[in-house]
Amino acid sequence: MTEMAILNDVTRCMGCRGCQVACKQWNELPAEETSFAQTGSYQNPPDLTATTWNLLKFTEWNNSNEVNWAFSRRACMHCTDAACIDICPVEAISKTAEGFVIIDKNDCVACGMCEEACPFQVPKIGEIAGKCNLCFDRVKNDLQPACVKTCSTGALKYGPREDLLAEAREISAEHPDWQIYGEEQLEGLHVIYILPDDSKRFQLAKSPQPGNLVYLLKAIKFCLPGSLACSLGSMLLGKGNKKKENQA
Amino acid sequence: MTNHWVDYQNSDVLMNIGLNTAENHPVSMKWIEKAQKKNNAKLICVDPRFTRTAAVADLYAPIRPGTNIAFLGGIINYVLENELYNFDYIQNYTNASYLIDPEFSFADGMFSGANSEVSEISYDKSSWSYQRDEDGEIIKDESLADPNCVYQLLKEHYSRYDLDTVSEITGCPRDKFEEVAQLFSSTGEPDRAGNIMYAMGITQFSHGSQNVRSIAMLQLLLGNMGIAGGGVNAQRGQSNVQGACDTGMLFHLVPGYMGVPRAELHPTLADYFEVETPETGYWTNKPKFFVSLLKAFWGENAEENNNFCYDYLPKLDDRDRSHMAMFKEMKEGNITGLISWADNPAVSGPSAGSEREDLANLDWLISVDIFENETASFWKEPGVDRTDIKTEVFLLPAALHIERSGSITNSGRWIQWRNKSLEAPEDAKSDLWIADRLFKALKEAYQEEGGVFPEPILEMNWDYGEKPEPEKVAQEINGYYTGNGELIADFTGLEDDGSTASGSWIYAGYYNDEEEPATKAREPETEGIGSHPGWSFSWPLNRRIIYNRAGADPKGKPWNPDRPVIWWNGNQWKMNDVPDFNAGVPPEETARTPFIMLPELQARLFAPGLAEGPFPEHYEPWESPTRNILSRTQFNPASPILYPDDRADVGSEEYPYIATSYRVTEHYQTGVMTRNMPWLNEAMPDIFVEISETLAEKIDVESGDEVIVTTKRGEIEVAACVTPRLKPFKLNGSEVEMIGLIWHWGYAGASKGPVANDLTPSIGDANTSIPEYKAFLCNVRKGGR
Repeated sequence: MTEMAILNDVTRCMGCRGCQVACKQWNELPAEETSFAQTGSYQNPPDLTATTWNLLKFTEWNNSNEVNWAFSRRACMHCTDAACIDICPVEAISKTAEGFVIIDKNDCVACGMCEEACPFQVPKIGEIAGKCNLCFDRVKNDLQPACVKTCSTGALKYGPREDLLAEAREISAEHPDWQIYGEEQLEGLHVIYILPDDSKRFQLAKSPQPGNLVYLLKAIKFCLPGSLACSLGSMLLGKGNKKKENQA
Repeated sequence: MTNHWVDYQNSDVLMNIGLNTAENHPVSMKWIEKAQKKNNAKLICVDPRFTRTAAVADLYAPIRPGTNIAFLGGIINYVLENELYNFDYIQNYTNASYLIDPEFSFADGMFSGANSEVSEISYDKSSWSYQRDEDGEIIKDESLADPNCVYQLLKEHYSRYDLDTVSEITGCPRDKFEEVAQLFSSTGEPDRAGNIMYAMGITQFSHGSQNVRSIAMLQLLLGNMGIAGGGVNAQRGQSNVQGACDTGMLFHLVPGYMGVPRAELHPTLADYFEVETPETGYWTNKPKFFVSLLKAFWGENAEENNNFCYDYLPKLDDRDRSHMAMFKEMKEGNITGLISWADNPAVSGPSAGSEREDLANLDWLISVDIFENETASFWKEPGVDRTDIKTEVFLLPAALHIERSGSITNSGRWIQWRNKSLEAPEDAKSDLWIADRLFKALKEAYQEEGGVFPEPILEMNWDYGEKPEPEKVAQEINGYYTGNGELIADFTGLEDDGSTASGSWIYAGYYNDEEEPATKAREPETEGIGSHPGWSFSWPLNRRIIYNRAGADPKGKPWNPDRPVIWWNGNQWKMNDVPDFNAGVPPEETARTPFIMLPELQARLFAPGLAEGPFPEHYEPWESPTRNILSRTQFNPASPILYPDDRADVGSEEYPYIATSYRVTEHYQTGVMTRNMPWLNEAMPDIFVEISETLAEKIDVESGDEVIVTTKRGEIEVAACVTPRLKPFKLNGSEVEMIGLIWHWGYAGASKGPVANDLTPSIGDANTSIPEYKAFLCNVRKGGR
């Protein structure tokens, strides 16, 4: 099966946030209470949450007296080397043939270990761990992901990963300052970026690393049966196991 | 728009001025990006602050709010000085060669004919006219050398708008301004297309109409009218505002852009025709359009022997009937009832706090909207003592646009039919249903109780069915033969003898077939210039680019052979559009008559129609941090002044900062739709004010802190957004700060906040009375104490 991906050309994004709202609409995710004072900027909510899977980040900086303002989509990167899959004690996370990383709602126990393991801190824990599933219910039916569908400029594209990489190389060839991100990281991400400046400015590390506790959590996973590993892991991370609390 | 959104793909340079297209018209960027990719087109963003559009633009230039005439006049001067205009175009298609009355003059910011030296001037325009020979023919100098010809007068007028002066007035650095002037005037090359797009950042000024004129003049000089990728493109601030204007939703126009009769000027139909019908140009057909309108209104009752019920049509008296004046009449007790239909002036009106007080003077108020808005709930505003309010308020719940069928006209004049997709909830009804019931109830009341002048209501042609059908209204607007009821094919079939009826002549043809009306056509284009003529209907006559005769040179050769709109192949005209000229004759016969709606048939670089003068001249906004450095005429001398005391002084110390107001992508207008939408409130939860880093330091605030913004009208407390995207302007050797207010909020709805328009002044344009929302003075201090 051909590996698929999303290409986020940040140089073409105008920051309309259609992708952020379309994600909520398709996935039937509730709105969150936010306030301007929380962020002091156009960006809201401040970060991804269990019910916000696609967030548009607003980054502004000065470059030799000229202002720059760029808008980038933050969501699951769908890594080839996906630390969340390795760490999940109940094996609720798996990979599709296209390369998408998805969480099985029925199996997830909301221990929070995937969030700690994720080099991008993407999964967030609510009743279960929530994150982008690359609209697999849409793409399996030959529809574009909701965020891509709604994008009125060419800032978001969905297609075969190799094709998108080739396109990204072509687009950025004339711009020495621009960077492609996601080609090599974690054996290849399934979200590729064209960035107008250094990736660090967009909080995207050259070599993304999982959280500090990940080795300890791995040890727990391999030493203990699933449910015990979850409890210990989530205790260690200071996360409430919300699903269990709700049931209690 | 003279062109269309989809035509943006044909541009070489696009200038976004007085507009934030990425923010407020995001889908436009799809077509702009196409142009950037296909034609290596450049997008210029001129804006007081660095916006979302600036973020995707190729060139950004700052501009102090209220100085667009200086900015555009500077480009006009740059084009004239460097001879970058399309000479053949201006010689053949404009009035550049016309000689003007030698009595015409301009000095110190004022044109000849002023009846006073102070303000609220009404000019005697007799000297703003063409010289004519004894046969009445306009005298021209085709070499454009005569000092009294339009070209020379234009050159002289704008010679004062040199690079240094423009930079000083606008606050745009000289090199940035020159870069813009150079890039945009590159479209004076015959094969290059320049598009100017604008919105309320051009119109909402005390000199808004002259801002638009400046754009039109620049586009004429560069030969950008009538071509693919060119045009004067007003991006409408609301999805059907084009349709509303087309069908007469303005106090001074009846449907089809004909003036509302004035009691003094047009007491009879014959007077109206005599005064309003020119001797040449397409408007010579006005009587056909006007009589057809009267036939649509009063049907069989409108006959030649009763002047087609002309007496039933309301006439304007000598009072100002525009928005601000209407509220003043409410203040003074002269208007005691108001229907506020899909309108929310309690949030959107200028000096909105004062307008809300005026609402309390009414006996009754009917609000028609999808939610209870701030106007309907003005008496519930926190802090208002409702015991004193006697106004009886009726709230009629309206259906949302997707809950009713009908047409919607976009900025590019496409009239597209839309089918209802959902049932409206509970008691919510379509606007048509509400209008129909209201009319029928009024008629019944007149029938039973009589009245002062019942005939216009009793004899009205009102035939849309028991349950009114939008298709029947559409057919009436389209027009029909009164004899057999057959639908009119287009407006060339309209007559002034009562044999035809049409509710808006420019729409004739959009609903020309009961089964397959043009408005419902959905045929994508397979080859051509991307204008999709088989998709819906574009008024007039399904023409996509108006004045398209000017899209080819006098001999009929398209200015750009790769993007031809119309062209002469030696034997006949070929076309990618509906011709705006007689395509049955060779090009020589139309080589000097492309602007068919003007009696001259040539476009006006010199235009005597507007109140302030035939050439736009820079004046400062009503409230300004500086004196006018171009002349001693500080403020638009023709603007009517309703509240003379409501003004911060020039260079006021009490109100030292410039304020402007605007919208964000996430919310829409007064927020009635969007502030009740949780996902949008999540994305943009609160009102805020954008301030520069230097101002933030001065008043000691950080992003997210509360600040208090005050103007002569009032004060509001809002969160501050501190950003490098706003910078102070250099002015008279010092720096002046500017703040930017988002204005979507009010005290009703799910997300609440202060009303930003409580701060804006009630001063308007001299021609249209549109309020000056975009430039005023304020103070800002730290709040939250």
